[in-house]
Parts: sequence; structure tokens; C-alpha cells
Amino acid sequence: MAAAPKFDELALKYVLADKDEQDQQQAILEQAAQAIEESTNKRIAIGQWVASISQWMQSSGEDDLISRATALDFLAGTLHVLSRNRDTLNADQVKLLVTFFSSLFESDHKAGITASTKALRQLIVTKHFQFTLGGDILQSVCKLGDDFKLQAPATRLEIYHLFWGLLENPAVANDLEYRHDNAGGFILDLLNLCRNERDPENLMVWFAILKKFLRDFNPSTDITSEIFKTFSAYFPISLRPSATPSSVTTDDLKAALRFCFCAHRRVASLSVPFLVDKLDKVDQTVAVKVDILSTLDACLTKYDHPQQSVVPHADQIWGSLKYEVRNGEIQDIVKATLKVLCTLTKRLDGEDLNSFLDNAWRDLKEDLSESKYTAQAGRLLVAIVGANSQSFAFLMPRALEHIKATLKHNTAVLHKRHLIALMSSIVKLRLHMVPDGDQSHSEDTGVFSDDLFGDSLFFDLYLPFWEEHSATSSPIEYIGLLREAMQGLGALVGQRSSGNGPRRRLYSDSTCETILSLLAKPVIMCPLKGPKYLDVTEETVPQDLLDAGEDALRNAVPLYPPSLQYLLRVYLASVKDAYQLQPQPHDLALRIRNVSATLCAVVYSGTSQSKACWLNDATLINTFLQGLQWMSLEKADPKFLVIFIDAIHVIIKRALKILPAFKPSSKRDSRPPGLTKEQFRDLAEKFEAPNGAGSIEAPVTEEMVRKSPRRAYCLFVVQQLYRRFTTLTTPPSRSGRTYDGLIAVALSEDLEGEAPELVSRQDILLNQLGQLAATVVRVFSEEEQKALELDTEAFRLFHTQDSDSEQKKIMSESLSPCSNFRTAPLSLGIMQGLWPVAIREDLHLNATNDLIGALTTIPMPFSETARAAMDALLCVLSNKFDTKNRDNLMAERLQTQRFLVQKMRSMMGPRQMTSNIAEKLRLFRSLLHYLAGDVVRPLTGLDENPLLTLAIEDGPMDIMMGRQLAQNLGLIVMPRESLSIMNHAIRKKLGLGWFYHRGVASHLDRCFAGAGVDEREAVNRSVGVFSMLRHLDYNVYASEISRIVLMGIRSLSTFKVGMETESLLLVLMRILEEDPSRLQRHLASLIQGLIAVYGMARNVADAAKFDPNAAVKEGQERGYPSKASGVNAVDRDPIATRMYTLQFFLKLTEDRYDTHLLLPYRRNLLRPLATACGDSVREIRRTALKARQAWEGLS
Amino acid sequence: MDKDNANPTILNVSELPTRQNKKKATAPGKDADLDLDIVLRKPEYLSAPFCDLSWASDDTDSDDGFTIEPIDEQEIYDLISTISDPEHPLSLGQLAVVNLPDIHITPSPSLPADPNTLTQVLVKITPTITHCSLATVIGLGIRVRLEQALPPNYRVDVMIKEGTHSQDDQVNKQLADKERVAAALENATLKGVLDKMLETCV
Repeated sequence: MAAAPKFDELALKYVLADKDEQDQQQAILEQAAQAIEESTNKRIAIGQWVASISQWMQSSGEDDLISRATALDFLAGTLHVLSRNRDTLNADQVKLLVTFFSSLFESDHKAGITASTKALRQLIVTKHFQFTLGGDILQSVCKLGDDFKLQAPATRLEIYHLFWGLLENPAVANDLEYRHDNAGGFILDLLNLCRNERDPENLMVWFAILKKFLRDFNPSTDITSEIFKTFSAYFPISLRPSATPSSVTTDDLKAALRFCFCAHRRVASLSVPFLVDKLDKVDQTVAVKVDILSTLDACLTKYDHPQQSVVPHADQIWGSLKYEVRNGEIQDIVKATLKVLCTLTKRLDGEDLNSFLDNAWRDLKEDLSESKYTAQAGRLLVAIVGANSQSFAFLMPRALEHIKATLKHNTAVLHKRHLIALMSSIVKLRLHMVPDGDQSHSEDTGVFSDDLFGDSLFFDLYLPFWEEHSATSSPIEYIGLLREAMQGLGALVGQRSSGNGPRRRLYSDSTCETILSLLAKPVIMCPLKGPKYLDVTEETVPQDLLDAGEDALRNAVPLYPPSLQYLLRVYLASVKDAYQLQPQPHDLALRIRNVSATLCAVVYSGTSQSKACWLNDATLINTFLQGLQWMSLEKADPKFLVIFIDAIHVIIKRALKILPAFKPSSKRDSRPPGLTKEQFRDLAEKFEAPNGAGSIEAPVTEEMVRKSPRRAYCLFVVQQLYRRFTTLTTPPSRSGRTYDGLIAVALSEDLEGEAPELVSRQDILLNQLGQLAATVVRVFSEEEQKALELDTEAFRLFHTQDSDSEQKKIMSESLSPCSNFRTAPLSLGIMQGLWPVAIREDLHLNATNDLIGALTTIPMPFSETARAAMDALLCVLSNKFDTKNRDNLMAERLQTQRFLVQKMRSMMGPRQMTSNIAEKLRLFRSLLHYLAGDVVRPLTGLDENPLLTLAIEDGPMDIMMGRQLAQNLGLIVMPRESLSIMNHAIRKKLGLGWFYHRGVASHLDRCFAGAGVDEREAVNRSVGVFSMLRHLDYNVYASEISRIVLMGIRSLSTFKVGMETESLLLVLMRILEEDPSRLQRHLASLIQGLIAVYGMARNVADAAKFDPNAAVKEGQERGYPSKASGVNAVDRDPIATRMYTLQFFLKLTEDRYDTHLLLPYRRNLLRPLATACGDSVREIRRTALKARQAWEGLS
Repeated sequence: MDKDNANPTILNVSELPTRQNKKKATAPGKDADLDLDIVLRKPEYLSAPFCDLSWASDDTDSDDGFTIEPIDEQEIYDLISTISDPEHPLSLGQLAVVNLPDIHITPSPSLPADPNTLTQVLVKITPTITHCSLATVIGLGIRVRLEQALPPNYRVDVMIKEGTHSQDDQVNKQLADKERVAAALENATLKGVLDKMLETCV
């Protein structure tokens, strides 16, 4: 008998073990379990095991409670371990143990319950557990009586789990039901026992038990009623905040309780009246009402046999719930109510449904006639007819008739608005309810009242309504009526038949066209050519109405595809009419632009995936091309032409956006086959308009869409436009130029004219067209760009194809000097989108050198606008010059640089005349543009960039124009679209960090006067440094931040107000945002310096405003016409400076520093901030006010 | 405390006068990228500092959104219409206590003026009822707000609109009396009421 003391020992150890040492306790349990499992005579072993705790069981004193509980826990724990093998214990042993543990519920309410329950939970799942024991266990547990609620929540939870475990065992459940004579009387004991449970976790299990009982047992009515009383007492349930939060949420509890309500139809007769009654109680909160409604909805959805469970309550539910909508103000409640009513209707059918609907309609009819309740009644109506086809078919004829009659005999605008809104909802509802496809439901013939929703609805209701309310003299209040009507009109065109056979449209084409004409009038026609819609003073058509119309049309286009063609015809005709109006509206261009934007939006469905959308897009592009063509034949001002180019750009961007992006050198094989020149030529011939020469139209055919060559079509459009606005010519001979004797492109006669204003508008057109080309060109892969020879087209502008081979030989492959280089934006557009490898080396070199030649000629034979495009082109060319591992190219590049260095040097130095400063500055800027492209490319060292050395080191030192040169250095590093990855630029990772260390950091020492550095150099260099720093990332220069801050503070007094202070302030602001502690020691000097800067900026602006001469003087170098808004660059510079200063003051207060650090400066700052509240620019006044309030509020 | 006027007429916020916003708001769901306005913007290389040319399109605002505009009646209205009423959870604009036509600036902002000229702002308020006991507090609130928001060369006068208050003379006298105004601001209770009223100003 060696094992006997072993169990005693184990039990003792277990009882004495520290509660926190769970591992140790677990190990003891394992030992005990193992001993039982391995014993040869289990009966004896189990006897000894149970007996091992007898020493604690005999004592009954209060002090031994804990030990006794632990000892029992030893047994329970061992059983838990034993449960890994379900048949360790035989039937007798199980029975014995069950009896033992059950007895504790009678004898030991203090120490025995937890452990006993745990043990029983293990025992009932053993293999040899006899189902008849289940009832005994329940009876024993119920003997706890009132002591149940004295148990700890965790113990009660164990007991609930024990109950759950028993009910889950089918044999036990069966026995319980049988033994209690189908009545499940044991449940009464349980209900009695578990009354008043409050713990959320316990409730979750308790509710589950009740639900299970209701669903799986067959309790008598009395018992059902008792159970209902028990759980309904908890409704509505909520969770009180407690010190020991449980993992159960209010929503969990609500859901668990809700399952009880909808557990079985046998509670229907109790729960529905109960819930309705609760709902009718006044003073329920929103959350409670929503809970009641959700519960009711769950009940109506779940109960089976609606005849017994739902039908008897239908009228009661309607009678109560209708008021929730009728008088309801809280949307959540109204929505939940409508959902319940919809569910209710869905559960009814046949006579029951009809009688319910009859009853409901009596109420609704009355309410629809009364303005106050129309909207609510409408919502109710839509909820019940939307439930299914039967209710729709049953109620709709009466409803429509009544709505029509009420509309006709009513004059109140609000009432009419509600009614027409209801009509629109019904029309839209029907659209969604009629099933797709040609399903034939023999019994459903005409279920969706086809006859009522056909032409008659439009001609009897909508058309007269529209005509009555849309007259020019109609008061503005009618706008609401029209907006609602528009919603319905948009959905009318999509109505389809619902009966047998294929779906067909309910409206004839001519009716659809009439409907569309009603919508198109305020959206497309009137905004273009009038007349005014409604009696409004400002716009032709009120914006609200326009938006509603746009929405309605956007919905209508996919519903009725021919509508697009119709709208486009109306659009073109209206544009033409408006243009020919005498006198033309002064803002016609803006009007056309707005309507074109509307049209783009109408056609946009949001999912441009399908081919149908592409067809729409292409049709739209063609319409805009037609508009453009017509306008140019009319010799319209370029401001009109550019609208169409922009509109085309929008659509093309949209169409190309969904194409997969091409990545160089990745998965070459998986790409779709590329476009070749021959293919493009073939396609282009197909695209070309049949009416031939001079036409830029590109008609769209189904066949074209089937193949879906989007990119080819877009390129074709670009080609057409380029050819339209340019022509071939022989440039005026200039000896020594490479293009002598060559043919080059010039602007076509569409862009003739000398007047500066006109030329400037033409330039806008050219730039916009170039940008459009860039969008298209960049979607092609390297191979395609090569195959299409787009590099050549960049300069020949798509005139190659029509030329013979002789002509081609003498066609220029550089930027055309004709038309004063004004085709530069067009060349830039193409070049910008090319992959570097798609540009031929010789062409690249020649084009770059020719361009540099042109840009360095003084005097310059081109305008500022052309120059800007040429500079941008130079930047692109210099960047795409891929010198990596190519020595010959590197040599070429150095040669180009040397030429530029030499050119620049010849203009610098003290002996140079002061004249031509502006031109020299421009030249210097071109050189910086070149460098901008150059420095982001991978390079090896500064030695290989003599131009950069010249620009950064020598530029700011120049005696005559060092300061101006320094101001411009930022051009090298500022972010540019043309150098983005999107445009296939060659970019080096961390390129700007490299640049900073080579170009900026090494000069920081020379930004401070003293030791061989004179004041002029220090200031000029600082100007250059800040002009570059403003474009660099903070982390790039963070290591030198102390020096930079010192430089910044000093520069506050030496920089000129304008570009210089702007850069400086931006850098300081960045430091303030990134690491305020860096500025903390310098707050006094910073604030003082900034107050002075703001004052100067204000003075400059005030002086410019009151002394016209001053403005001329300041703006001499960069003079250009001031804008309509009255802001020109001379004013703008100090504006930015003033804005940034105030933003800086504001940012200082935004939790960056402790208040006591700022308080000393408050007094000095409030006065300038008050003055700043009178700044001439409104946005600055706003910032000043914010800053002023922030500083006022410091205390 | 019983309210002087428990049932005032309320204007809808969307009906209050605002500065005309020419720009059309982009419809939700529409790709901002594809908005015509964005495509029409000046290409980057034609903008400052690359190049500083005017974009001669006759209907766009200046690129950076900065426009030189004097302080006008609408701006004053915007400053004070958001003040909360001391007894209703509504703004003075919604209650039509302040109205755009009752704001006068001399010299008129449409004339070019030296930024240092003394400018007078006169606001006439319309109490919701003729015996409103809070008219003085409202007037004081407007005065405080404007003095905090306008530059030093602006002189603020607040008056009761003629015929809208039974004791308008007295209220006007109080509002114009600098010393009484200063004394009122020393009163902690009154200051608390004013702070509460001005809390909603942005």
C-alpha cells in the first residue's frame, strides 16, 4: 500500500502550496492524476484519493474553510487533468463521485461549492456518465436555495456552466424533459435559484440557458410565461460602469437577451405585446427605443409559422409603430422603426397581407393628404411597399392615384415638395425592385404595376408638374420642387417591365428624349445661353438645381445609354448658339468651362473599368474635339479653344488612370504586346474622320472599343491636336545655326496674331496642350516609345508621317526656332513623358546643345513664356541624359558644362557693365535649370560638375550681381513635376543629401563675416544657402542646425524683404516644427527680428500701394501686368513674408514651449499683432487674429 | 431665470450672408485629380519662382489665394455674427440681432485709404424684443469682440437700431460711455458671461 500516503502527501502539499504558485499546484495535480491512471486497482486508488482530503472534511470550523476549499479543489483539479482521457473512470466511480460532490451542495455551502461544481463539470462529460444522474445533480444544486446568491460571481458562473453542460448533453436533456412530464418543471427550480442574477458574465450564460430551453424543450404555457417573466425583467439591459470591468459589453448583453426574446414562436404572444408596450412608454431614451425596435425586428425575422406568431400582432405593431415615424424626430429611431415595418410586411402573405395593407393604407391616405405628415407617411409607404412584390402590387395603384390627386389639388409648396419627393422615392424603389434578367415568374405577371409606371406617369404627373413650376417667372421657392422632381425623372428613363418575357423599357425613345430634355435644359442649355432658370438674380441656374440635375443625369446615363448621345448633341448645339449670341455673355468662356466640367462629371460613373465606360469617354473626347474644331473654324479666341483641350485632358487622364503602370525592366514577358509605329498608323487611319482633311474629329466606333486601344486613341488625339496647331515651314536663315536649310515646325494659322494679350492666351493653349501630351506619352513603355519614335516627334510634332523621305532628311530634330520658339511647350510635353532610353543619343545631344545655344543668345529672340518652357525642357533633357557607365556621354556632358561655364564667366566680374543684368540673370537661371536636372542623377563627385561649382561657389561672390544670383540658387533643388518618377526622371536615392553636403554644408563657414570673409560675401552666401535649404528635408541639414539657426537670426536683419526673407522664414518655421528646443535660447532675438521683418514687409507693401513709382522701380526687372485681383509679384513677395511671420508667431504658442518662456515677449508682440489685424490681405488678417488671440490668451 | 424672449425667430445658418464662393465644390466621390479646375491650373514651370507670368485667364483667382481686400462690412459681420446669444444656444447672426445692412464703415472700404487713417465702424443691433434686458450685454460683447479683432486705428461704435428697443437711448448711452464699459469689464460675473458669448467665435 505504497500509494496511500502518496495521495495524502499530495493533498497536503496542494493545500499548503502558495496560491500564486500555480505551476507547482498544477504539477501536484498531474502527479495525482497520473497515480490514478497508472494504478492497477482504480477503485482502491480512487478511494484513497478521495480519502486523502478527509482530514479537512471532518473539521467544520469557520477557520478551516479555506483549507477545506483548497482540498476539494485538489480533487476537482485532479478530475480536470483526468478529463484528458474520457474513460479513466468507470460508471460506478463516476456515480460515486457525483453523489459525493452533489452532497456538498447540501452540506457545505461555504467551502464546497466551487470545487464541487468544477468537479461535476468534469464528471458530466466523462464517457461513463449516466444521463439519469443529470436530474439528480440539478436537484442537488437547487438545494443551495437562497445561499446561491451568496456565492461569489465566479462560483455562480461555474454553476451556470454546469447547467449549460447538462442541457447540452442530448441524453440528459431528453431525460429531463421525459422525467418532468413534458413540462420541464426542473426549470422552475432553476428560475427560482437564479433569480436576481446581476453579474454580466453570468447573465450571458444564464440567457443562453434560457434561450436553449425555450428553443429545444417544449415547456407548458405557464412555464414559458415564467421564463419570459424572468428574462424580460432584464429588458432593456444596460451595463453599469464597475470597478472591475468585465470583458462583456452592453452590446453583448443586449444581443444575448435579444436571443431569448426571439428564441421560439411560443414566446411571441408574450414578447411582441411586451415590446410594443415598452415602446409606447414615454420618456424612453433613444438607445432604449432603438434596442426595443431591434429586438422586435429580430423577433419578427426569427419566429417560424408567422401565421401563429406574427399575424396576430400585425395590427398592434402597426398601430403603435406608425407613431414613431409619424411624430418621430430622431433619425435612428425612425430608421429602426421602418426596418421593423418592412420586416413585418415581408412575413405576411395572402389575405393577411392584404388586410394589413388595407389597414395601413387607411392611415397613410389620411396622412398623405395632410402637409404636416406627408413626408412621414411617405417613408412608411416606401417601407411597406418596398418589402416585396406583393405589397408593391397591392398598394401601389391606390397610392399612385391618391398622390396624383393630392398633387393636383394642392397649392402649398412644402406639401407638393413632399409629395413629389415621395414619387421620386417610389420610382427609384421600383428601379431597384424589378429583378434583373429575363426571369419569368408566372404568378408575378405585372407585379410591379408596369402599366402605372409607363408613359402615363410621365405625361400625367411629371410633365405637367415640371411645366407648371419651371417657368422663368417661377419663384425661387420652387427650386426644392424641381430638385425632387429631377431625382424621379432621372430614374424614370430606367424603368423596365417586370412581367413574363424579356425585360423591356417602359418608356419609348421619344419619351426618354423628352425627359432628358427637361433635365438637360437647366444643366446644359440654360447655363450656356440662358434664359435664367427661376426668378433669381445672380446665376443663370441656381447651383442647387444644377447639382441635382447633374446627379439625375449621372444616374440616367447608365440606365438609358442613348442619353449620352442626346446630351452631347445638346451640349454642342448650346455651345454654338451661345457663342453666336449677340452680344455674347461676358463670361461665356467660364460658362462653357463649367458646363464641360458638368458633362465630364455626368459621364463619370466612378468605375471606369468596363468597356462601356471607355466608349462613353471616347465619345465625350470626340465631342470636345468637334467643339474645338468648330470654335477654331469660327476663329474663336484661344481662351475658348483651351477649354476643350482641358476637358479632353480630364477625360484622358481618367481613361488612362486604370491602365496598369508600366515598370521598366520588370516582367517584360507579362506585358501586353506593345504598340508599334505600323499598328499606330493603321489604327490612326481608322480613327480618322471620314469627312477628311483638316478635321480633327476622331469618331468612336463599337469595333474600336471592342479592341479597346485606349492609349493609341489618346495618342491619336494628341497627334491631331498637335498637327492642328502647328505647321511645317522653313525657318528664317541664320548663319551658323544647325537648323540652316532645314524644315521645322511653326505655329499654324489658328494661332496667328500679334497683340500681346492674344499671344499670351495662345501661349496658355500651347502649354495646356503640351501638358496633355505629357499625360499621354508617359503611359507608353520604353519599347513603345522607341517604336513610335516619340523622341523625334518631340521636335517634329507629329508632322513626320505626312512628309516624304526626302523631306524627312531635312527636318529639324531640335527645338524649332520658328514662331519665336513658341512651340517649346509642345516639345516639352512629349519630352517630359519619355523614358531616358527612348531618346536617341545623337538627337539628345544635338537638341540639348541647340537649346543651350538659343538660351545663351543675347538679346534673346523669345518671350518669357517661351523661355520658361525652354528652361523646363533644358532641365528635362539634362536629367534624361543617362551617363551611367558611358564615358563618351560623360565627356559630352562635361563639354556642354564647360561651354556654359565659359559663357557665364564671360559675363561675371567687376568689369562687366551694369546693363543687361536682367538678361544675364535669366541666363544664369537657365544654367540652374540645367543643374537641377543634372544633380538628381547619380554622379560621382563635384570635380565632375564644374558648372555646379561655378554656380554655388562663384555665383554669390560676383561683385555686380552676386546677390541676385544667390537668390536663385534654390532653383537647383526645388521639387519639380518634370523630375518626378511619374515622368520617368532619373533620380538618385538620397540625391539631395549628397547635394547638401557637396553644395551647401561646405559653404556654411563662409556665411559668417570675419576671418577672411567680408560682410558682403557672408550675406550673399547666406541668401544662397537659405534659398536652397527651404526646399530640402529637415533631416538633411539637422546636423548643422546650430549654425543654421545662428545664421538665420543674423539674416533677419540683413535679408531683403521678399524672396530672401520668405526662404529664411520657411526654414525657421520648419526648425520650429521639427525641433523647437533648437530655437529656445534665441527666442528673444528671433521675436524681435521677426517683428522688424513684418514691419518692413508691411512698409514695402504700403509704399508700393501709394507710390506707383515705387512699384515700377521695384518691378523694373520683372515687370508684368498686374492681375485682376490686384496682386502682382511686387506685392506678393512681402505678402508671403508677412504671412509666414504671423504663422511663426502663432506656431510659437502651439504647445511647443512652456508659457513662462513666452510671457516676457507678450507685451512687445501684442501691439504689432494688433496692427497686423489691419493688414491689406484678408488671409493675413485671419492669421494675425489667431496669433493675437493666442498671445492674448497666454497667462 | 425666465428668458426675455423664449421664442425668438431663428434664421437658418445657410441663409446668413456669406462671402460669395465662386469655386464649385467638388462632388463627393469625384476624383479631385480629374477636376477641370485642377487641370486648368498654370503648369508648374510657369509659376513662381520658375517664372513669374500672369496667367491671363480672366476668371481664376491669383494662384496663392492671396487677395488684397480691405476690411469690409461682411468681414465685420463674420467677426460678430458667430457670437453666442447670452440666453439662447444660437448665434447673433441666427437671431438676426446683427445684420449685414446695419454695419457701416467710414471711410467706405471701397475707397483706397492709407492704412493708418482712423476708421470708424458702426454696428447697429436689433434686439429680438423691444424690452430685451440683455441688449447692453450683447452690445458690450460685440464691442469687446471687435476691439480684440480690429487694428488700433479702428474705432468701434455699437448702438441699438432705431425703434427696436424701448429704452434705446439709455442703452446707447451706456455702450458709448468708455468708463462704464471699462468698469463693466472689471466685473467678474459680467466678464464670465462675455467670455461664454465669445467662446463660439472663430
